[in-house]
Amino acid sequence: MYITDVSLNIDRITSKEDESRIVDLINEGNEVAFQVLVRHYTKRLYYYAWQFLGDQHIAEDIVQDLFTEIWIKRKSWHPNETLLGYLLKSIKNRCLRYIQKQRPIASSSIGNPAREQFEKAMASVVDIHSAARIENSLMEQDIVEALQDLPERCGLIFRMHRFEGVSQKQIAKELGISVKTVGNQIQRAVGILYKKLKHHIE
Amino acid sequence: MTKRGKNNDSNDAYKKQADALWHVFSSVPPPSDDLESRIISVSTKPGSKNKPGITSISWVYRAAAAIILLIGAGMLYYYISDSDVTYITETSREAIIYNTEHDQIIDIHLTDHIYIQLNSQSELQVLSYDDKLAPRLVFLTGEAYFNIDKAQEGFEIITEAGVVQVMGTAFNVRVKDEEVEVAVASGVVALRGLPEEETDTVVQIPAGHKSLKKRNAPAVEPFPVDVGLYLLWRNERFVFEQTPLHDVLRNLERAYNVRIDLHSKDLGQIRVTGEFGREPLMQILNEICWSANLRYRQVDETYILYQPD
Repeated sequence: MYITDVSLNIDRITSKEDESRIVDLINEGNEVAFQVLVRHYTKRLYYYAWQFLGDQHIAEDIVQDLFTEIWIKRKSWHPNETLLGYLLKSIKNRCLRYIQKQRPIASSSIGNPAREQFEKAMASVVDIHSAARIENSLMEQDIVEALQDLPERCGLIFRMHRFEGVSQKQIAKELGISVKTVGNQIQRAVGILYKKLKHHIE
Repeated sequence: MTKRGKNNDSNDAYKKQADALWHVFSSVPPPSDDLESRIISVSTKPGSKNKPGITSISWVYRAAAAIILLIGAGMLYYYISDSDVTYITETSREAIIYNTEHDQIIDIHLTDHIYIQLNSQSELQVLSYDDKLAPRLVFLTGEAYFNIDKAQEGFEIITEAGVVQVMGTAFNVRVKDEEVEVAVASGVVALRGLPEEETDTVVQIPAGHKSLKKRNAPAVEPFPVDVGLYLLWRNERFVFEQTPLHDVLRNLERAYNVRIDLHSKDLGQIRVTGEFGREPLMQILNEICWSANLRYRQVDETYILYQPD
């Protein structure tokens, strides 16, 4: 096995080179590389999933399932974009699939890939808040919706900063943008969210 | 108005909005502490998904062993686990185990005369001999507050570091790193060694005093303390007003049964004003860090606050 032969000096994923090295090592079955991947992205993916579902346990399950699948299919795992982009997209698809499954109509699409694709697309535009609506308080629903209304990149930066406590400098480094841009995006997010959630504040 | 004045105004408005938003976002739950380790376990044991809680089951066996030792019976135990409470049953006796997770405190009314409040990350095992008899032996790891009527004399709390004997009283017991700490609010409590220990000294701890005992060592002579400090974790709310960060963190440490360090001592002088309910610790830390422009990271069981670069 490679596991004991490969020395892994990466403890954070901060560059494209780190990303491809991590993917290569995971392809080879390196457990440490998998751990680095999990530790680096779990929180980010969890908060992203939460904003679709508004439910801690389902969000955790969805993140866990994604990583489990990556590990099970590790030999043939070749994300063809940035790791973060790939993981966020996978989580989003899984959340939408979950929400879709909560609706009675979804059962008719099982085993029909074309129908499934169609409903997936529908779910993203029609009403992706339905699962959250049933379970959560009005305020949580509003938070879920407000977070979803943030532009993708702006939302990512806001979540990293607010929920994960990542510094603006670190976010800038990871996303390859300037610290000033990060600050502006956070400010923008705060402005948008404040407007949407004002009635819960005052 | 000058340009500079405008900037200051918009900064103030932004700060105000950001602060107000925080309270709204405190209802977004952080992920479970063990989420990462649950995910990672799939790689360390290929083909088998470990379910959370496996470690607490091994603890159950250890606790069961200790109780078998205490009651001197070698019967077959098995456990039935459903949610937070685990039952260990054998032919004539039953033990109930209460587990608390991070940020969870539970109230246990064992009888009309025995009230126990179990702090987070703690376990309490109650062994009842018979339906007709009140429980007399409990096994504790972690921290709990006990309020026991005089009618319940003979009630004993077994820990890994010693036995706490109750004489009608209210007190706090905390077990950590093979050491038991007893702080007494009212009445008297006796602290002595476990049956298998060689030390046979017993200390009596009066109200307003505390004593400590390590395993295989005699108990420390009781000394006066501010018992209120030891009961802080029971508070529903924390109110800080211009409180030095150092003191705030000591309170949170006691309340949440964790360790919180500062990267540099100077940070301890930062003043904190705020009111918190029993929300998850991470939320409180987030809030403190947000207002004091600090960050924190978690290393094993310890949280470390630091200044960003």
